[in-house]
Amino acid sequence: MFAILPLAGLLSGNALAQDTLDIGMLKNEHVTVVQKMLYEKEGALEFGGHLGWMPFDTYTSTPIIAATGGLHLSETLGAEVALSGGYSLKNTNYKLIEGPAYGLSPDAYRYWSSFTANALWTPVYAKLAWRGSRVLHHDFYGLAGIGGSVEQSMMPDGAMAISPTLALGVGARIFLKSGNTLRLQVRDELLREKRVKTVDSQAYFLKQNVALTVGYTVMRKKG
Amino acid sequence: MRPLLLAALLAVTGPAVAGDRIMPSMEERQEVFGEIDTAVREGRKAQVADLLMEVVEDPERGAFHAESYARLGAVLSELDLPYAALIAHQRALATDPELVTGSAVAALKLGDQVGDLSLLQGVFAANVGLDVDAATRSRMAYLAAREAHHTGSYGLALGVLRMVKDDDPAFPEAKALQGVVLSRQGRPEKALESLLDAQKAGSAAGREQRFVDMIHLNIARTYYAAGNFPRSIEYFAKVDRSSRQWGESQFERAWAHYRLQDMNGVLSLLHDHASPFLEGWYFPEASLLRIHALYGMCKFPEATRQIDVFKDRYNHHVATLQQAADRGPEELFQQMAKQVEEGSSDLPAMLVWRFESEDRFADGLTAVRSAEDETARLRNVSQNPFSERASAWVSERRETIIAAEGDRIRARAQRMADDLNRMLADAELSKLDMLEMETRLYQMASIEGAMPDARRVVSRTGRVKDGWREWAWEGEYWIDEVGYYRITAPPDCPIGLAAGEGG
Repeated sequence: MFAILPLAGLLSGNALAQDTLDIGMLKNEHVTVVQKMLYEKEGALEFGGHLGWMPFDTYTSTPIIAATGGLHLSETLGAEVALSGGYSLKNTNYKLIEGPAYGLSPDAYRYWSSFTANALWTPVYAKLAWRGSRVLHHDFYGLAGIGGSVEQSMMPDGAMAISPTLALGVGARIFLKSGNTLRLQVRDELLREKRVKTVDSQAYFLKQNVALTVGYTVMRKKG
Repeated sequence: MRPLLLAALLAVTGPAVAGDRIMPSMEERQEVFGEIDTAVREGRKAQVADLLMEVVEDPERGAFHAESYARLGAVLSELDLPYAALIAHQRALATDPELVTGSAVAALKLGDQVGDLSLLQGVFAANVGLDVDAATRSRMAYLAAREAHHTGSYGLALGVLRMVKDDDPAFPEAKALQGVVLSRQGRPEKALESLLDAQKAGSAAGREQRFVDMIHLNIARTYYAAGNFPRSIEYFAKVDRSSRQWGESQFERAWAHYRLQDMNGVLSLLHDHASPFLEGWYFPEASLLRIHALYGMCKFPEATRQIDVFKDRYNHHVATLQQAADRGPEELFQQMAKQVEEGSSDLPAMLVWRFESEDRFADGLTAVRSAEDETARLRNVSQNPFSERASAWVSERRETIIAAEGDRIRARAQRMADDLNRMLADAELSKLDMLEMETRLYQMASIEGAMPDARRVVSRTGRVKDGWREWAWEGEYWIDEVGYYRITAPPDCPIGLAAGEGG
């Protein structure tokens, strides 16, 4: 019985006609919105200043400041250099370990600076309605880059470490009416850090500096 | 050219009383104006005004009325009663314009001051050939042309408009009016020349965006009237999106697309009017044109659905508009004034929309407020005969403006209610036709098993340009997207099922 039904469906004109019952309707897929982009990036230079924090390290908490400069090669691809500087402070873990209870000095490294050259990929350009009235345009991007970081041991020897760095991150630009942006970013810098003190047991360490930053960037069209 | 034109206009328009005047003797003048001249010399202005009022109200001293009104205008102006002074000068010009040519200059100045130049339109239209300086004649000509246009005397309006000088402050408006008049005369090519001149003059004079938008709209309409639909579309599209005329321009542009058989274009443009952001606006014709375009694409079920949407949207407005039309002119004027001044009123939004930024209503309101200010000041003046009468003149003028403007609002509300009633009834009939066509469409689909080849009306396959973005639409209206919809629906007309071609 059930096997006959599909066959009947194939043979019957009426059944096929039922498939076209939505003829004569205007469907949502017939409608698109074609708008000139308010905030074009292609060909634009973007310069910015950023403030941030590296809150996730086990022993340190690091305020940072950063400057970025880049060029948008297209609406989705861009290249950027970022120079960051900061100063790691001892967090509660560090203080606990170096306190009278433990009396130890953790092998923590103080962040000083990093420089990376990044590629940015911006696949999402979007808008959101702020309380149903104001429309905010924004985009989401991912970044990947390479560079180097400078850190220093927080132990009395103060050994310096200059490490190759891989930067990975995601962020969002909120476009302001001027065309400039408010930029929010999470960036993880992965350092292959050579620590001279422990070279006999473990010369290289993989360290992550995860930074949350908020910045203001200026977009300038070339020419 | 100008002297000939002036002579021709003089022959048509007056001066009205020239030639009939009997000049009074010096003794007669002395008898009438002797005491007045003495009071003037002694600076007793209130008494001068009282005495002049006596003269103008005495029918036996008619030969002195024009001069007395003019002198009254001057003294009332000195007493800081500009509205009463304006009325006095207007009466002087209406009585014997040749005798009181100076009143034309004074009246223009006072008209600007109180915001009631329309009071002078009639008297200037009747006396445009008056012997005044070139700048005054130019200003008079523009006002006279407005009056002639208002009364439907298009030939006279065009003749008078040629007297408006290039350096007149109202030259761009005069050119625009010339374009409108020529268009009304069915001369679109000439109208276009004038409108393009108006555009240039407006741009040189730094006119505000509203003027520019109005010119673009009029140019577009004129191209439409000339059958040049692509150019008409180009100019409709120039009307700024933030402009009050934008909704109108989109709707009228849709008509141009309709005439080009571009039904997707029609639907794209009128998708705006279906959005909730334009719901308070009065565009029933846009809904009907949309339905017609859907019909033209054999989208009968959608057209039927849209008829229901149209009825839902506009049915209840008939009663609201009728209620407005049943109110008195004074009440309507006061509500509209409240809307303009305070931003709210109890009038329906779709009625308010046309008047709240209209120049004519704004001028009327300014004049009414000036009149109220002046009557309030006159109440504080000691009770002189002149102040009572001047107050009565100004109050009468105020009431005339209120009645005229209120009546215009009432007439508009009535017309809207009547039109809506008719359109709703017509839509009901169209629905029956639509249902029949829909049935035939389904029958054909059923017989064929699928839709036969649909006739191609317009193919829109253009790629989105660089710097533009195409967003999918999922049935949600965003305010920033209004005006940017693009519909690319295939027509559903099978061969053998002809729907309206439009046109």
